[in-house]
Amino acid sequence: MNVHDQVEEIYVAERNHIYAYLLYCGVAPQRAQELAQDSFLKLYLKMEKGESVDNPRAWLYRVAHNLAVRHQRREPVFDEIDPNSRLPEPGPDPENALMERQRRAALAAAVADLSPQQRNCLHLRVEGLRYREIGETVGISTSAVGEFLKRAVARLKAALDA
Amino acid sequence: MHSNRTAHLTDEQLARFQDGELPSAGAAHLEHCPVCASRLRDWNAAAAAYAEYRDAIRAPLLSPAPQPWRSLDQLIAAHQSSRGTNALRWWAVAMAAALSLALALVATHRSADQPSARANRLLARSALATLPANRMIAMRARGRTLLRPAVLASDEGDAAADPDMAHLRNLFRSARYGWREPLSPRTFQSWRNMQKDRRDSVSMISERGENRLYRVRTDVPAGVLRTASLLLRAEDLRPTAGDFEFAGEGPVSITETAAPVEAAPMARPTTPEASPVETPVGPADTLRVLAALNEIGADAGEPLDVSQDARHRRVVVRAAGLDPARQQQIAAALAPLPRVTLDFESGPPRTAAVSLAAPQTYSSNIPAGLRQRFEERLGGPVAVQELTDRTLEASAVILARAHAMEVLAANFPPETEARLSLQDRSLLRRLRLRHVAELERLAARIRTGLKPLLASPSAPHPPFGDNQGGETWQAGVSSLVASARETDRVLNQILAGSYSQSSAEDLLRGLASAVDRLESAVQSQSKGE
Repeated sequence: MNVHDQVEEIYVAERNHIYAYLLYCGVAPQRAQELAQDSFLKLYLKMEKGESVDNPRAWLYRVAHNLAVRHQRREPVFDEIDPNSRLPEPGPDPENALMERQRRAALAAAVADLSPQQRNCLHLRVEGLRYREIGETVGISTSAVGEFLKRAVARLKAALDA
Repeated sequence: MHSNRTAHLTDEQLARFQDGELPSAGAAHLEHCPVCASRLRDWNAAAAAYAEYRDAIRAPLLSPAPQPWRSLDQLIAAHQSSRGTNALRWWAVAMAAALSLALALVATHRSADQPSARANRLLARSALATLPANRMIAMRARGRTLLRPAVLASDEGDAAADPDMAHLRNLFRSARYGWREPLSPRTFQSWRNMQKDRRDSVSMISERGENRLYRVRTDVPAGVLRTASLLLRAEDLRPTAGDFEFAGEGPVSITETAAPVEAAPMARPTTPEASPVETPVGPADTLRVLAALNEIGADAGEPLDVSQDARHRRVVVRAAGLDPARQQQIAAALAPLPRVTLDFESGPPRTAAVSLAAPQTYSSNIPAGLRQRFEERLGGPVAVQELTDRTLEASAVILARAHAMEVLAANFPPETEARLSLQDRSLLRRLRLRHVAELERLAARIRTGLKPLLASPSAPHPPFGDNQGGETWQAGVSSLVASARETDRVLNQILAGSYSQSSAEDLLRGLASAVDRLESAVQSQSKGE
């Protein structure tokens, strides 16, 4: 598979994830889509020059994060949810709807209680990035990533067990 | 190593197991160790919960991509087209760019050395210096020495009691130089910002051959006050004296003095106003003001203070030296909130934050031997310069953020926080965590940037003060502020100060300890509830 086909495959598979990540970073939709497309173009240009990229997904998140910082001229506050926004309704099953709504509200509250850095690290971890890659994306040390994730897991566990 | 069943896996090793990258010995440990297996289950449960949140709760709230995605070929074609267009103009643009670059380099070099930028930076840092309560000042004019508190409770004071003091007050007032706190760097900065044709100078002087002081001086060609200067103690930038030359008047000098407050009491309680008929404003009102300011980035690093009036009827936001556009932004952000008074004239009292000046280039004062070592480790003089700028800028923002945390802690002590509604507590928490996240990022940036200069990780240090085991986040804020100040002081000493080669090692060790303590204090905030 040549570089073009490789990047195209990644582009189709990952563009919505990178776009969503930029939205989580607080970038407006129109700009987020432009920055997401820029990220993939940068990947193509880099690989076309023969430069190797160990993990293109991790590389794309790093580029997207940097573009978000540059665009906003500050470190993004990751996934800041308006406390007044309505949660999506669970399925139509009325019997379980109330319980499901309460469970989802508790889950949303637990995630909202994490710090922006904890949310960012957890998001990237769930997206499949390694500790080192998360650190490179967010601009913190690997040990700091470990610490954020540890606290995030402990908080989520405590909230969900309550 | 992990065949030993008592050596538990680290979190990163657990993650590597999830990624299928853990060596077989580690995987074998997991099979036999209930502790690690339980931790892995917690991990998986948390990851699954977050994935559910992302997919079922958060994703439906995200806006879909507004346009159809362009194909990769279209992106490449657009890129090549813009490159082709640019190539046609390349020679003309290259020549213009080279000229611009040369001019920019000259301009940058000059602006880096400009005294006004250096004055900005010194005054901004000085405004964060710790000052004792009940400080007194001696004002010398017309052959007399008059004593008064350094900070008056009101702009009026008790000047009428002494004709010379009243004369001085009138002079300062007509010059629009704050009478309430004339030895304050903020007051000086506020006056200075109003002067269009000012000339600034910064010099280092020695007092009796030992104490070093910065003199920040501003001269103006016209107006009531022609020259003003402040002396800042080099070790902590505390303002200790000031000299003022008014048109047609003899010089006025002000110095700190240890005289007791009773020597010349000028402050008096403000006259009670008519009884309020409306409900007093409370902490929640202050919180909403702080939140609105936070939304426009005005709660950290701005010369701005939020308080309540004497009768607790309104929240008062004071600021001085802000440009009109910023004033409008602040007014617009606060417009939806009831019972807020804006005061862009009198300026904030001593405890308010200050504007952050652009980072100043100072690294030329590093001793030659140490400079050579820095350049070798960092990759050349440009890299040293960049590190200096980045680090001092980060440190200045850390100071501002720490100060913003101090404001939150002062306004919302635990008992006050406990009385807030659930929604307001959540808002306070969000505000605090935004500062903490930024502090974490900046502290990590300083650590990473300085890594090549710090010999080895130092032993863990307790944070400043007695709050390391504090139960509340408020209790830890004083440690945070102290460690931010200490880090800033040491960084400035190393990157911007003058010192001998022989003291360099001690300074570098001190820096490592200071950064440790800062990170520790920030981590405590991150953990604190």
